[in-house]
Amino acid sequence: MGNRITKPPKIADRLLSLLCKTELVDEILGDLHEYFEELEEYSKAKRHVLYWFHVLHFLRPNLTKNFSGTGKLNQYGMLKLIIKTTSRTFFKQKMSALMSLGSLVLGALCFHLIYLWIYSEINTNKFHTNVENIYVGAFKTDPISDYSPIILSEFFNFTFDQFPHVQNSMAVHVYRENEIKLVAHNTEFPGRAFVVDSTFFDFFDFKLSIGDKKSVLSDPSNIVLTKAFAKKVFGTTDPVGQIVDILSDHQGSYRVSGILEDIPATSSVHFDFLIPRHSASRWRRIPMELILVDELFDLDHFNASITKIGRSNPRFSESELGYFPFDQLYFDRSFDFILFSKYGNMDAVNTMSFISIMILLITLLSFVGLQTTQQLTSIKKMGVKQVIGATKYELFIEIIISRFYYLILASIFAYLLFELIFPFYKSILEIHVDRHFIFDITGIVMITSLVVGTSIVISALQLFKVKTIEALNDRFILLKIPKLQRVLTSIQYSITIVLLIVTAVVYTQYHFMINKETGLSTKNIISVDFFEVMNGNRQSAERQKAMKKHKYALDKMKQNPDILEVSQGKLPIGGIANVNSWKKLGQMSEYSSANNMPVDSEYGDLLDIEVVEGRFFSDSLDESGEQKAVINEAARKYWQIKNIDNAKIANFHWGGEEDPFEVIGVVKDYHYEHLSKEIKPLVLLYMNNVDESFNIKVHAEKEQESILFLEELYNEVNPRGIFTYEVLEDKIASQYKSEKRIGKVYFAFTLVALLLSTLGLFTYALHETNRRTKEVGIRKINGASATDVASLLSISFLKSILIAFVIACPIAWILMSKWLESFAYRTPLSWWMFFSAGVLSIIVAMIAVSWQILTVVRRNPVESLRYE
Amino acid sequence: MIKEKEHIGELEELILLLIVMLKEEAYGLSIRRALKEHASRTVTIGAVHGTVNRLENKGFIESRFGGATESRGGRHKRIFTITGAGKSVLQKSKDVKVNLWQQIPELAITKL
Repeated sequence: MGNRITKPPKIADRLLSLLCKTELVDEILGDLHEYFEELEEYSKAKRHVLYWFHVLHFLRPNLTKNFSGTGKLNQYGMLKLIIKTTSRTFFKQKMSALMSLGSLVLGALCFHLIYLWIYSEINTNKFHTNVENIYVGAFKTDPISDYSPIILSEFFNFTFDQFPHVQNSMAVHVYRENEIKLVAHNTEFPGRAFVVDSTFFDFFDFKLSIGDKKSVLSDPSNIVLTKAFAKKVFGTTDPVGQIVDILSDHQGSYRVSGILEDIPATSSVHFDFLIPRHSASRWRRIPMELILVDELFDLDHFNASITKIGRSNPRFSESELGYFPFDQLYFDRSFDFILFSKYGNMDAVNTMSFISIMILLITLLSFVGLQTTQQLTSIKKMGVKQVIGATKYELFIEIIISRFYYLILASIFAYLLFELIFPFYKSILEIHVDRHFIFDITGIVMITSLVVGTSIVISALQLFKVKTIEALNDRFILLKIPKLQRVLTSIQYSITIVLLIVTAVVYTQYHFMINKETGLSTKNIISVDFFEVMNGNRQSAERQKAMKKHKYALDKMKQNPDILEVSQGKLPIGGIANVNSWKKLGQMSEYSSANNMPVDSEYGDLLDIEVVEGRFFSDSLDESGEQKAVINEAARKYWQIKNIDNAKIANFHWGGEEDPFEVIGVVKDYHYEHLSKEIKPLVLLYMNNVDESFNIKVHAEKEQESILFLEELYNEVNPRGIFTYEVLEDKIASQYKSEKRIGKVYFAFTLVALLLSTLGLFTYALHETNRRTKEVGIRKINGASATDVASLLSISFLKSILIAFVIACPIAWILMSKWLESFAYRTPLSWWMFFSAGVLSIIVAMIAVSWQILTVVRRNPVESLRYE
Repeated sequence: MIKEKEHIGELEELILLLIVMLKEEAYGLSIRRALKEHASRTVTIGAVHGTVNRLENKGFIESRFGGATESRGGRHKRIFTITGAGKSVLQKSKDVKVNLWQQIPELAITKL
């Protein structure tokens, strides 16, 4: 019953009436309604579905309406025509079409390159499912020193059983490339090794291609290699089941039982092979501790309880114990975490985001500008089309299709270029990124779509604003570039000039910082860690034996004529000095923090530290561990010590005010930390410490020989150890690697921004000069020289750039003053940075514009007047 | 000889035949019904309309308006009839096939 009353859906009928040929509609609807009646036995829903199905099948070329105004064309023919005319315009206006395409390709490419890097930085370590539940243990001896990571549960002798929310724990010893070797077929392969508990795979989601996650680390004779390392060691032979030896402070044989997939680039944790920790009773490297917690874990509460346990040990009553979220260590760098082989820099991520957005903006302005200018030149064509009968809606479709051309071409070119450039990008800028085809394609297409979409909207607005009669009127040729676009060009140039100034300042600042004198002579200094840290009593037999060896090694070194100075202590590299609580004796104030560093008497000579008052430590006058101190000028100023005679400073932990340190000398300020940091008060303490690294100054020409000599000596003293050394200059240089790299990146992308802006200006000039061709002819007839006309034309472009410059300067000034504030030693913002940015943009703009101006100016006035 | 343009497709041929068969009742929906019944072909109504319009453009059929019924919402049918050109194209199509069949002895003998 109900079905009979049901009527076919009206919307479907209306759709057909709208789209199908008028003469056919009656018949079509008749047939459809009859068909609908036939379906009586079906349910209402099914009838509707079937009806719609048939309705949609009516939308076929020979049944649907044609475009109005064109007798024989239907949509398909129209489409073909539009595509044809678009390609023709494309080739006819080669210059501006290529530039539009170029700016789109360049913009999308750069944005994607930057985005890729930011994306991989932000997602570093995020691929572990448990990443938010992993914490790393660290402690500090007193409230004002720095945290250092260590295995807390073993050090303070507690278990996690009492904490129900801690599910798992793991200890990791890290052996760096120069500290461990894997031996296979009598060949040694140095590698980065993690000695781990069997719980390793509960923490981290590194994929095993061979072996079982649960059991592979349980057997103490097993070893797990990464795919890349296994390939390096075994080549094409199957590594599984092979027996390898480990050569380090522990030696043993292992069977390869697991192969890991390559470690993703988004992992800051990096290693070549994994060794089960219970395969030896003692590993020399200090282990790190990681814990895995559940959702209900309360970090503050937990840290408080752990600190309480730590302080119950009388030796560490001041200590603070804490667990740090693993996923934040990458950017925070609360302490140096040896599991990590790289750290992130949030500042760089922010600056790069800023640059990428600026590039996107410039691309947008440039492309939209180019397209609207191009549309202005073809406005007569549109007028004619409209007179013939095309509606604005159809013209709009034409715009959309012509822009799709750009979208598709630009996406393809951008992707191909990306494929081409990416390897260089990766290696030059030392960026680690994993790539996915789909991700790259969608990224690029999204950017091009955004830019093209915006240009379509703007063109549509322009199209609907222009009156047909105006378009056909002769006046249209004189149509000025809309004010909005002049404003946009200026904005685009302001952004570019800001970027140029930013780059200039960043570059100068980094250059200034890196080339600043440290105040030390750091050439030809090699550091070798001869003796391991000894916990034993000073009088123990082990200690006595070590002292003997130490004396032997020292004598040997002193006998070698190539070795100029030998000292033991910490090198002046960032993060080495200890923070401690000091105060000047007789001062009412509380203890405050100052750096201190243990040195021996040779340290001053080794680094050529200049003594400005008093004297440095000497073996004959001072004794190791004595309460004597040498301070730097910053410390003298800080404590307002006018005369070092009778000046004494007290350390909170070492004797306090009852047993203060006597100040025996003041040294000139030198940089013992990163050069961006201000030189802080420093207290040097006299300590002949056997454990410290040997810092050896060698003859400039005999560096290689000296290293060989040291290696031999090392092997003689430590037959089981592995000789490694560090060169001070390399270590210092590596501190500034990231600054250099970032400088390069900024520079490259700023150039791209300049190029993009220039492309925009170029078409602007093209249109402007075309528009004024006749004017130029008349002026020349009336006696204007080529120079007069050229300067007249140039001034209109110069104006936009000058306005941009005026806008850009204060913005850049504010931005860069803020940025420079984070540096202790900063290069002043000088006029030349602003000036050169302005001049550079003007020069580049003039080069782009002058070519067109010259063609117009040099044209014979007769021709110019006949033009049109 | 059949000119290039006078080729007809399989569906076109079927529909032409059905138009001849259905006589006065040859309009869109009935052709679809007959296709289902006699040739076990299910096509959309749109496909039938597309084909008859094409055939009409080629000059093989012509149309006139027929009666309206209540179920059609008072709308006219379009009744198709075959033209002379249509008849000859059908004949030619048949001749080509018969000719081919006869040239293949195996098929002629077994008659499948």
